[in-house]
Amino acid sequence: MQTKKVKNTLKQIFWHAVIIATVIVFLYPFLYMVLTSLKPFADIVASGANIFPKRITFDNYIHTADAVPLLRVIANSFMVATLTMTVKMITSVLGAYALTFLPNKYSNKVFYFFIITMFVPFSVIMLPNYLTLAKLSLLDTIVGVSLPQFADASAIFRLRQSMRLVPKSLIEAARLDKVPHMTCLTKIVMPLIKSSIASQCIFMFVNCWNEYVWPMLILRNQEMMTITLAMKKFSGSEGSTGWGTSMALATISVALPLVLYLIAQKQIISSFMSSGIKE
Amino acid sequence: MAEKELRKQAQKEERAAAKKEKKIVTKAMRKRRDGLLFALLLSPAIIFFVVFVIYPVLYNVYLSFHEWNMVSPNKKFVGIKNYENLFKDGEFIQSVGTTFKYIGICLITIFVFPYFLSYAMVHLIDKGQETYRSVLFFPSLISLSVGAIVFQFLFRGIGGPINAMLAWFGVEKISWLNDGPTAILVIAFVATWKTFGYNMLIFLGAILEVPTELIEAAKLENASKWKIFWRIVLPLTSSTAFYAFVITFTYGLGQVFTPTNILTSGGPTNSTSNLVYTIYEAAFFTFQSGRAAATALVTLAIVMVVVVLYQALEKKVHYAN
Repeated sequence: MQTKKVKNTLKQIFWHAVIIATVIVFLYPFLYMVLTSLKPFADIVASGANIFPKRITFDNYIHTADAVPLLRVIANSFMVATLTMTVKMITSVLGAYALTFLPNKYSNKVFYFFIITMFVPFSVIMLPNYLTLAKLSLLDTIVGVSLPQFADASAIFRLRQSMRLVPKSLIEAARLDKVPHMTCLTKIVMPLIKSSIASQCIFMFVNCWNEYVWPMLILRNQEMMTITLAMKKFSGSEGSTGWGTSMALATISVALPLVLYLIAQKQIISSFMSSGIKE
Repeated sequence: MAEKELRKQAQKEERAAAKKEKKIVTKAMRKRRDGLLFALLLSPAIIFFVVFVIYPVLYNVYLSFHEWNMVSPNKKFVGIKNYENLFKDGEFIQSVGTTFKYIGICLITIFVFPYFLSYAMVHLIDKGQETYRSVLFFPSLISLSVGAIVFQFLFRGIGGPINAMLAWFGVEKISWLNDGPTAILVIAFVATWKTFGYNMLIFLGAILEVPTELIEAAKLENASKWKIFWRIVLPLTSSTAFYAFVITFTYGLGQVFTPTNILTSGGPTNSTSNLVYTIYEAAFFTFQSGRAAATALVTLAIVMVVVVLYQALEKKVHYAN
């Protein structure tokens, strides 16, 4: 009995160690980025594997603010992400409501159509979309970055998952009282799934904030640069000044997703944990 | 609150009055109205999908049969020449190979590994699961471009932290990004950093769904944890696993772009160039829209083969259970 207990404790310790090692590996790049951004220029090149700064300085941030129109860059990213999130949420909520509460013989077909769009890689459609936006003269505009992202099958899919948990009888009762569908949506369904909507909003915002490829193709004008594009400008340039600046910019860009994650962590995690489970 | 109640009451009375007016809506009429609303509510999403997903795919088909430099007003019809050139081109064949190498690495690092780790988090440790999972998911919310830039720094040949650590074990300096195979590895690591947490949550969700009674019963019969994984957890989570596999494959194809662009631009001597990156180069560097479109359609075909296989396999598993 005693040996079995010891064996069990040892096993527990072993698996905790495996998981903690994984956690360290995954946090290391993040910590390295933050701590490097606080190192003086000379330290950055010389420090090797040593993650901790000998002296903390904000020189890199000051230099970044000189080298990049920082507020403008952040504002651009913010506008793109807000616009995309807002419209995407509207199209997704409407679509998910129709699929959940107005089912008819076409619902399944429409649903499969949406799922298929999920499997078309972005790079397959980037050239035609670029040409479409050029035709609409939307290159170098915020709307141009957002427009192709206004519909999102995975968002519809996840919202539908939450809406299905709303009792159908609730909507049916309201409908018998002649409450219009739009009122059912805004007054019954949305309040009931508001935490799921909030976490989806955060996820949409963060995804768009993080976007690199599409803004790179659409935004060529320096004035329109988003934060991910600004970062790239300084990466790879040898010498500590470039490294310091790109680490500072990277840290700034991670700050917002980090704060949002700390606020809505539980919601985001539970919404993704259920996303792979089939009905 | 009271005001709301009152308003509701008033609304109800109004409706009752309307009912008395005998505005009887027949079932058929309601059905038609619901159908109209269904179409109306779905149309914004459908319109965006048609314009920015379906039309581009079809336009690619058109472009792939033409020669066009994206500036000239005329597109020259060339039949299947773009495809012929593609398959005769050694660089293209190499890029397909690189794509599969990269996907192969990713399947180990972001499919197999998080699968086992999720099992360990649920069944091999007693507590701490929630803390671990929220920390491990965090990198999934960080931009791929941040990942690429930080990994570029970590994997520097001279003075890079990874090389410095390897030096403790007597490993000689590696020029990670100047050598094809190691550069592919670093690109895959960036994608792993981004997707690991996301896949882990999907697996965790599925493993937690496995009925505990089954596992308890197996434990009573002294089945090893290893056996429980293979005989109970794996079969019962296989449909989620298939889903995660397809997602890893398709998203992996997309996620390779940013790190390739930032870390190597496809070099050295094209050794890290992959399907997705060749589309970009053909479209935006050499302005061969036909070649870009043909490559895009080959990529799409590969994804569709995987999706179809997935559906077939899933059905089989579904019936087998």
